[in-house]
Amino acid sequence: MQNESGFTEGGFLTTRVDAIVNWARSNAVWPMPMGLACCAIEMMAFAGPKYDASRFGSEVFRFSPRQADLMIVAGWVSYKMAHAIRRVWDQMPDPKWCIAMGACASTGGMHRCYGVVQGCDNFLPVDVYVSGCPPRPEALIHAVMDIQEKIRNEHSIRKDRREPLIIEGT
Amino acid sequence: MSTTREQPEGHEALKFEFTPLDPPRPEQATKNPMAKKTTWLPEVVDVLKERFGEKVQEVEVYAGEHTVIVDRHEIVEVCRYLKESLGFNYLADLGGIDRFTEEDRFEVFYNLVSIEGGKRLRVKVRVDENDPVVPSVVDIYPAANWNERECWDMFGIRFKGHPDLRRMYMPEDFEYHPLRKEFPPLGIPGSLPLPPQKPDGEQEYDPFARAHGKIPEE
Amino acid sequence: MFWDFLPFFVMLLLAAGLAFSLLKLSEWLGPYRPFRRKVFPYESGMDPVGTAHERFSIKFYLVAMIFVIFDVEVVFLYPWATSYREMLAAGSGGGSLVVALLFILILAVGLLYDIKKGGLDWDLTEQPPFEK
Repeated sequence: MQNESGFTEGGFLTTRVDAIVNWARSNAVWPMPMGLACCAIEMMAFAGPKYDASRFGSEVFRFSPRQADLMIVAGWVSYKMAHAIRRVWDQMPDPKWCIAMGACASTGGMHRCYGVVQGCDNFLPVDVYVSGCPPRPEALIHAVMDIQEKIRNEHSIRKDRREPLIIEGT
Repeated sequence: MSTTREQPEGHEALKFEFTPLDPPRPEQATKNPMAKKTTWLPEVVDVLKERFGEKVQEVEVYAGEHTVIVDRHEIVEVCRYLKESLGFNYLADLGGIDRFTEEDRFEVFYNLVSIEGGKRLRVKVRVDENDPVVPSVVDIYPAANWNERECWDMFGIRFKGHPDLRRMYMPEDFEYHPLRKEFPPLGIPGSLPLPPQKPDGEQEYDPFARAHGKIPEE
Repeated sequence: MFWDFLPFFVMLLLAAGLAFSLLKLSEWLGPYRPFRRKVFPYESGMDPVGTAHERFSIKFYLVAMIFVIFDVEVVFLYPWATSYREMLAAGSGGGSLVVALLFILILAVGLLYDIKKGGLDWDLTEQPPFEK
């Protein structure tokens, strides 16, 4: 890593700012539901009052990629839809994370056929996979909490600097 | 069907009992607890045979259902007669079947229903692989439009006289017909394009590496 | 005099500070990695169809303009209304009422003209035929 003055790696200032920024980001994860199939119903249940999503900060499910930072791919992805999903993912501003919800989004699931992409990680960088067909809302809550933990462990300041940096392996 | 059927032994035990090549058992003609009266139509079949003679190639009776196999060049006439004179005014379904035999590889079936008469008839047409053309029944049953497109997409059977024969499910430039028996269930790797995996458009990780002859790096 | 308005200035400072921090903190602390596909206009993952320059129906402009004119009329009537009691007490209430009614009448004739001319027609009676 290049040694720039001010924000040197691991300094006291950066870690404090990191902690605050990560705390803020992890407690306000606004999902963008890419509800494609039956898993979307369980995602709706996750957003409903019983398995409340808004107590984790996911108060609003933003259906516009410009306003969201977590994309939940819920359901199987066909080859045609994959292009639209990739474009929507590209249009989400950083920082962004992705949950592959259910067996079909993770690996193609029960649809082992020519029309279904065998796992959305063939074209998306997935952070958390949720197994289940469909996964219970509690499983999705667990996944969102995993994402929160992942966010809290990031080196946000070092990663998000504005001048172009050569980052090995992101 | 009796529940105390004796089980065949040896390699006979693996033989699947209801392939079309098995001779039909006599009780299959009538004894089906699920068959409704709507599908048992010997009078309709007799009228068809009388009107069309040899063009009605075969009549199958199985599980209380009648299936009439017709010469494919006459399907338009048969459908018109069935719709106008016999009252089968609803085409419930139209599709293709790949029998994977040497001769007459494909079949196109038409599920015709007479709503007022409460009758359901299946009309089939045998299509050879070397000349997969069937006259289109869109003029008689407009509902056949998209079903014939699906049949073209999935089997490669062309319908002569169809106003707009193009692929239904697969992209226009797809080279194969997926429901043919030789098409692998997982598809041909690389035949459908995947979106790029990097923001600037490169696809650096090939999901079908083994199929393309490269071992994927771990 | 300055200290009387101190709460106001504090609120001004807070508002400006909030706006500034909301914008600038996320600019300094957040990532900025634009590339072509990210800044492309959003149309549910598809290529955009048509342009963004839609033509507006003229009825919005007409209704807004008429509203402004009659709003100004009401503005002129407010001072008259507030001072009407004093005019009544001074004895000239009747005359001022007649003058005000004359004013309203002139503008009402204008409103009638506008209605009859179709300026306030929201649903056009002559629709273009529905074409597929």
